[in-house]
Amino acid sequence: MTSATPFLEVQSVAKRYHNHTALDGVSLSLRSGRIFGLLGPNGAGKTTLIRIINQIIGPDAGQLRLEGRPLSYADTHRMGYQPEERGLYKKMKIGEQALYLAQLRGLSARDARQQVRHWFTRLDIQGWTDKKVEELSKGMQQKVQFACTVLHRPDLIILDEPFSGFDPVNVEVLKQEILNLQREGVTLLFSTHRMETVEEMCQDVALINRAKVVLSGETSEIRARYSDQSYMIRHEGPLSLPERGVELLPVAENVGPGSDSINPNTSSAASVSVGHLGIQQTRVRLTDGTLNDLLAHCIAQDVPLHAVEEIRPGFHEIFIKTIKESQP
Amino acid sequence: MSKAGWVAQREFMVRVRSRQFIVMTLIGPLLFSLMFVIPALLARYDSDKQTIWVHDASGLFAGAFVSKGGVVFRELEQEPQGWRDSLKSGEDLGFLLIDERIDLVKPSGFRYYSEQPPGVATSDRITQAISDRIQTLKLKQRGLDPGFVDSLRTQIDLQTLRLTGDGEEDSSTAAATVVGFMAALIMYLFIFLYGSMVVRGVVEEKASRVMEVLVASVRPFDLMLGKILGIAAVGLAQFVVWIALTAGLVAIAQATLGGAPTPDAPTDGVEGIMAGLGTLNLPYLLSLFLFYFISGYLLYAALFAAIGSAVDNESDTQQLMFPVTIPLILAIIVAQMVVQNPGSPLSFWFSMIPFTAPILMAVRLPFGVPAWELALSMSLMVAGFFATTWIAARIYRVGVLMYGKKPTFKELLRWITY
Repeated sequence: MTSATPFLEVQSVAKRYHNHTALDGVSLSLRSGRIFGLLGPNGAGKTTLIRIINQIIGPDAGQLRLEGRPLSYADTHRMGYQPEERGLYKKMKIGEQALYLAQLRGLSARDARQQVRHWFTRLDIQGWTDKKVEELSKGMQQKVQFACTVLHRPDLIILDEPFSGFDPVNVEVLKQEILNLQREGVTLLFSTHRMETVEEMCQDVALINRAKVVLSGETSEIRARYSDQSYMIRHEGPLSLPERGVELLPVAENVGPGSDSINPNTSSAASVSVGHLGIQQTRVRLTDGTLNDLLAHCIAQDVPLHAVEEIRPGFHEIFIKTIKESQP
Repeated sequence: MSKAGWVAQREFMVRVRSRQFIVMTLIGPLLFSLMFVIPALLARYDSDKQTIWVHDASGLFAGAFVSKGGVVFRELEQEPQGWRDSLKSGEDLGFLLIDERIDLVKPSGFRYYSEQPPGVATSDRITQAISDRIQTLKLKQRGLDPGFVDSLRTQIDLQTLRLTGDGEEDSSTAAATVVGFMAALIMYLFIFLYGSMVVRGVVEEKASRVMEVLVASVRPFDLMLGKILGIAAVGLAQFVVWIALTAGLVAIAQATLGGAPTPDAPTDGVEGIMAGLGTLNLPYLLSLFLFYFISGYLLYAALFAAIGSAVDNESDTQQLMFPVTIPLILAIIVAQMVVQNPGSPLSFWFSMIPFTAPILMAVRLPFGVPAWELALSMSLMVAGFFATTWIAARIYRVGVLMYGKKPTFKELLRWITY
């Protein structure tokens, strides 16, 4: 880790329940002002870890440090938590509800009122202050929930599946708010299954499987680590490849959803696919030498090149691969 | 303010402003005051003039029928003409016709005519008057002085006195019984009503998943305590409003209806109890009742909160609530025996067990309870409250985070030791 003191450190935390181990020597570190993605299959121990960070439950072993000091109960006032199963009092007016939750997080009545006004205006729900939760649409309720999570200006915001259930417009609104908070120096912890959220927003990530951290680090570093040196070349006309140090790959593989699907069983020559406007793509993996050698070989031919792009594996594959490897 | 304080404040405000609370708070005193007003109204209605014409052909019953209250007896020399028609005049009239020959051994030949069948009070009065006169006539036949027989009937007024350190004190068994039983019933209802409010409150927080957000800000113990105290405040507020409004309504009713609300029907029992109330030390009793109210509620409310925390929805609460309510029901049953004998060992033991003490002490207090017993029972109450709250808090702490299968009692016990 590059920065000096991490904002939150989880050190060898363990938690055991009656007949299973929820966490086993889990260590993480969240750096200030960054978004940390906590990933893992259902039942891996994510919720337990979040509850321990929120001090809803205590760890059996290990400790947590906030800005270098051991975590204390007063620190809960610096945290905001939005559980996956959103919850509000159905029969309470949303304004009063937000006020109440802000006060429980340690805000004075005056401060709380001011913050409620600020966030309700910002999220465009100020006209609904006197409505009860049950009278609001689902999207509106989720905005209220988010407002309740951030009202007390927490330094650490924990969001469990932050975008689930939101419509695309509100997802955009929420993303902008989260990025604004991050710019203000707030540290965020996402617990999610959605890989696109991780790829798009998280700078750091940890994968938990069967109570243990099986993978962690910076998002870009992990993707680079899992890079298999494969490249996509776009060109016009037939391209010949060096005879050594290059392996031809089927185009469709690992290009991600939405790309043209090409039958990978066709012969090697056919693995050069025909794109639109006469542009072809070729997918290769370097087994020896550098990209420069490959490029020099291509440029030497009289074939117009359009793009050369590294294909990095998505987190989806990385995770499935890691989890399969970590199974006993 | 502490977090438990914020929680209590929310619980109180949300409930006190609910339509249900406002309706209940207003309807309660109306019903209570109707209990006072209706007898008064009935007495009034009852006292409407009713005239009963008596034609006594036998001549044996002269002066036997005495007018009293609204009922006026008039004796007729002759069988009146057209009396059948006058029955239809709409006035409240009755005709009592007595045959010429009355057999004193097997008396018959008394006929009563009216448009409406007579009420029990009227027919009782007529038969009583007839049988009294027949008795007198029989005594005379045997040569006995009816006045002497009257003097044989002696009314005994047993004056019950209690020996206390200061000397003798009047006591009233009837008043003590009524006051004790009323207090016990109110205690029972209060614990049940507000205890189930606690269960519903906890289940609501769990079912709506707001619990997860709450426990991230508030320690489960504070959350539980705040809820219990907030609902206790709701109960006390409702109680105070009820008493104030009922007293006010009854006062208004008395002023408009005029006179005491008790009818002049046989009221000796009620009057005796009212008089007996004066012999009870009310401030002393009220403060002790209040202690048992509050400690009893707190003791049970903690357990009810634990039950609420253990389930996901309201329909699952019934089965778990049953064992908790057994002592309450048992206490009400035992209370009926305790009234018979307030000083028995049964009374003693059940008024020491914290689960039954609030109800049984309510029954016993008006009869007088030795100071040491009271002190012991009250200490046990406080200890019991701390014990149930400690146990409940441990179940609650685990329960609020558990979703899914309804736990068994065995699992609940294991949660205590987590």
